[in-house]
Amino acid sequence: MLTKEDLAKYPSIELARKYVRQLNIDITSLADEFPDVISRAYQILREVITRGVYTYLASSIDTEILAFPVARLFIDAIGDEWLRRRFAVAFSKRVGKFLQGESNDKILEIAKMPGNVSESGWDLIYEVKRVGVKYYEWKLHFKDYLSVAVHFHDITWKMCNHPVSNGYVRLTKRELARLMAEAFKERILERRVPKRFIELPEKIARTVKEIEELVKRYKKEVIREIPIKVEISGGVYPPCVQFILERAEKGENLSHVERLFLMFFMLNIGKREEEVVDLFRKMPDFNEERTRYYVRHAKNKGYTAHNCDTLKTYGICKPTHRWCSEGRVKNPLTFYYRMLYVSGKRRSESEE
Amino acid sequence: MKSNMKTVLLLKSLFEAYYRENDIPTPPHFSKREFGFMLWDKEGMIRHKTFYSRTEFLTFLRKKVPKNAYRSAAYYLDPEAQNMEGKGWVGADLIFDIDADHLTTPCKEIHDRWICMKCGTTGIGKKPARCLNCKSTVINEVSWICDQCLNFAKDEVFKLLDFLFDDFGISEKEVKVVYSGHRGYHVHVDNEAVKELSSDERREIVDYISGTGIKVENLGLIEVSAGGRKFIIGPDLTSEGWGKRLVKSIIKVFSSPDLDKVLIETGIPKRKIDILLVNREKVVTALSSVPSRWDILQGIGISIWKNIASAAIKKTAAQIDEPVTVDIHRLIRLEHSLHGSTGFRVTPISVTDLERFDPFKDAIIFKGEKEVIFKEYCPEFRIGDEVFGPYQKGQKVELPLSAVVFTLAKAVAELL
Ligand SMILES: [Zn+2]
Ligand SMILES: [Zn+2]
Repeated sequence: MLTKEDLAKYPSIELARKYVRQLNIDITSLADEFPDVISRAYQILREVITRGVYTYLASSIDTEILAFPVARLFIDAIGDEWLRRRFAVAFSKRVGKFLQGESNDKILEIAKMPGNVSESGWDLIYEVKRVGVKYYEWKLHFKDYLSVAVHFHDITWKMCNHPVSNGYVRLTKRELARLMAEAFKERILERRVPKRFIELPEKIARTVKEIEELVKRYKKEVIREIPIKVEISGGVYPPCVQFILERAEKGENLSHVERLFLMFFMLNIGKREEEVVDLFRKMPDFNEERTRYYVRHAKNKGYTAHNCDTLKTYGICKPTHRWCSEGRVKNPLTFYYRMLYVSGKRRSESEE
Repeated sequence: MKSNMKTVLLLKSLFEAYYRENDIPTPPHFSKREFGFMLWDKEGMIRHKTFYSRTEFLTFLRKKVPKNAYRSAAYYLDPEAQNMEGKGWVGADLIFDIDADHLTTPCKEIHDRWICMKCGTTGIGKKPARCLNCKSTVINEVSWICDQCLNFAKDEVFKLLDFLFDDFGISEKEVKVVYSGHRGYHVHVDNEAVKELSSDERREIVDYISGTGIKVENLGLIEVSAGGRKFIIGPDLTSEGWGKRLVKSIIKVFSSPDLDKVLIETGIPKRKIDILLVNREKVVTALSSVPSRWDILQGIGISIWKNIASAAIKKTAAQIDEPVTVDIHRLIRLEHSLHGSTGFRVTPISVTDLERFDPFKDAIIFKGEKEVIFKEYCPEFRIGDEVFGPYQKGQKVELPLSAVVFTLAKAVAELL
């Protein structure tokens, strides 16, 4: 059985939505009757914006449950995609942590109930199986597994790297928590109310304005809204790098290996620390300090970008260019330097 | 190679008789499907066609007598809409395509031909990068089919079915195998769980079945240290999915007379291969036991096992063509229609009948005889129990109607 505390920990689930709905709160009276909720929603968003973290206040369960839909209402009213993504990622990280500590019964209840991780709920079964050193506790129907796992770019999430039998994919507890957390995130990103349908009473509109200002300021100071300069190199990047850059520009979450690869590659071709850090600013979980630390560390150690073979095993290789598909380069750096040479030559020829 | 008028007329009249005399069944949920047709006298395809009733469907086939007929794997709210946005995609069967053309078979070197479009030089086997005579790169390939390549394709179908049944838990009655009427087979899965899968999700299933992206460490094949010693541990026959498939495939490879050939191809050093060859039975026993023992041979470390594993994975993966599965708007051949390049029937086969199915017999429908003249070299082929050819350019021969249709449709012969 889910408790009220569970609704506060997982305020996006169907039961929490029902709970809020039956309170029958009118948006116009929200600010007067529940000032705590408004200020908690503001606090949540401030922390999401500045630190990328969705905190949990165990002391006030009702406020915590209510603050979630209010925070989402604010996001819809602002209509900023970066904020929406950052909120969803921060929330999903919190959910993942909570889920890892939950009992099996609770996990089953949350996953199977319609409307929580998917419209119809997941086909999930608790069953222990040991394979070598790995201890699998769960099996999930492949259609549910795929609906989330295709969003991960890390090769360990490919279905072929999991035991699959009779329609079910085996998962460790940790893996299941990660999948469910991702599903929570996707659900948040899917559901949105267009800005033009939202009318807010004066008091709330003021709070929303403040958050909007915060977003603007953060973007200006931290993200610096620098468009990632993909075009400066005029197509000299190998397709794998190009692909990652395009996703970074869109603010999509890159996998750990993708981040390292991009970092090493850019440092190898002589980009400055600052320039490399800039590439990651749009990451939904961007943290300047941590990123700077990684970049500096990689620079000091002098790591070389991964070989094509290694990238292939991670599913990062995108052999859309002839040089790649014909195996004419063994490392993306070779591609870059060769292309730089060829395009330089072409340019000087056309100038003649 | 254009066919002459007389040829087209004969083919069309034979197709017409077929559609008139047979009540072609409608595919499941036919009113939500898009249909496509190619006609004898027009270039291009008629798309976005829909039928509201079975009668309308049959009348269309009998009146238009299509050269090729297709239907969508998808169901739509409005299949008639001219663009994909307007159609309202509701779901699609999961379709797999196995095409003999994309499999490496020895018969290709015998029956496939190429023609240089610039100087007309021809040759046998796969087309060269450049014409051997004039060095032109514009070369047409003329592919043929025979028992060997279609049997290779059938073997891949069996591999695919094994994945669908064992790993994906799909039941036999949810699967339909269809001989395409030419070079291969389609496998249709009609099951609630797969209906709404996105393109990306379908691609992931293709990757699973073709073994793309496997890291053997994730299947449990790793080196661990304990008590200052290193051990190799790995999956066994009680494992699931690719772990079990890997063990089964290695056992099969080590039990096969081609073991030496397989090992040489992996690039493992000669002296290691010698160890493995001498101990082949020991390997089979060790991997067949539960838990399996991977650590039995002195000098065979984890990297050698990884080499063997990737060869074993290739052997047991099914070679399916990704684009057909991933494209959720794709038109596929209509079951029971006739294939315009062979005159063979697009034939659904139940899983139990697949082993016995003979495309050169069971997909043949025409009876009677007719004389044709060959306008191209025609390799040997079989219809039913009779083998025909090879025929030389200019040769006149009287052939049974099915063979006539086949050679006319393949455009190597024409009517006198
Ligand atoms: Zn030529
Ligand atoms: Zn053949």
